[in-house]
Amino acid sequence: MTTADRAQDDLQTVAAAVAAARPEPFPRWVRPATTALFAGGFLALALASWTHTLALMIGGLVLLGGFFAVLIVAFTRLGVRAYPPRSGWLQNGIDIALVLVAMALFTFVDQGAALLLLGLGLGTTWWLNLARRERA
Amino acid sequence: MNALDPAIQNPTKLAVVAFLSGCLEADFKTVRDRLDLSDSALSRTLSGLEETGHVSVRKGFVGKRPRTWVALTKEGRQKLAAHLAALQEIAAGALAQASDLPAEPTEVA
Repeated sequence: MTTADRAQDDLQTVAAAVAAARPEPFPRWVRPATTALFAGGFLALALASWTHTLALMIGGLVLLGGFFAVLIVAFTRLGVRAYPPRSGWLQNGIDIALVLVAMALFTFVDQGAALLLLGLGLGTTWWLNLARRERA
Repeated sequence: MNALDPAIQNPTKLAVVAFLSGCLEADFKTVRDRLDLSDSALSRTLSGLEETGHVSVRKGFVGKRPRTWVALTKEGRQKLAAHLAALQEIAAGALAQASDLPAEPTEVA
């Protein structure tokens, strides 16, 4: 085997090893569970703001805490931790626009509507992002 | 001209370093399974690569289960890039040399 053949073999080894490092997607239950906790948390906070109910506010915060807990558990169980995917300008733009509109609603119109918009809007983009990650 | 890195000329070491270059960090078991290595072979390989500064090894827990995480260091990443460039130079040089040869042997009068 010549040096060039050996170099060719090594390059193929590298290509195969890099391809093997592909991160596995989150388990299937993570997408519905996290989206439900996220949207449900904001929905409860919105209801708490309209009805001035402490129990709903606590419930909303617990649901949002559950969202982060599930996310951390799912992430730590992955065998390969990949670099975070680069978000496209469209996706970033939609998220930023949602937050800005929610801030405006919160300040000038209605706090409950702002929280509801955050929960449903960001919940939808979260769902779509995870779906894209599962397909990749 | 880039130089080959003697520390990763061994195919197993090269595969492990290349695997880690494709991610932030990976679990010991996952590297072992995906590269089809035994526990002892991967342990030996990682010890060697840790000594030469190519990889860093971190031990942690997921729940109550101990887990070992392995990552390529910044230095390891640079060394791998230089090693790959050297391999590509060798392969490209051989290809250029081969294309200079006549397609069929010429007859000598």
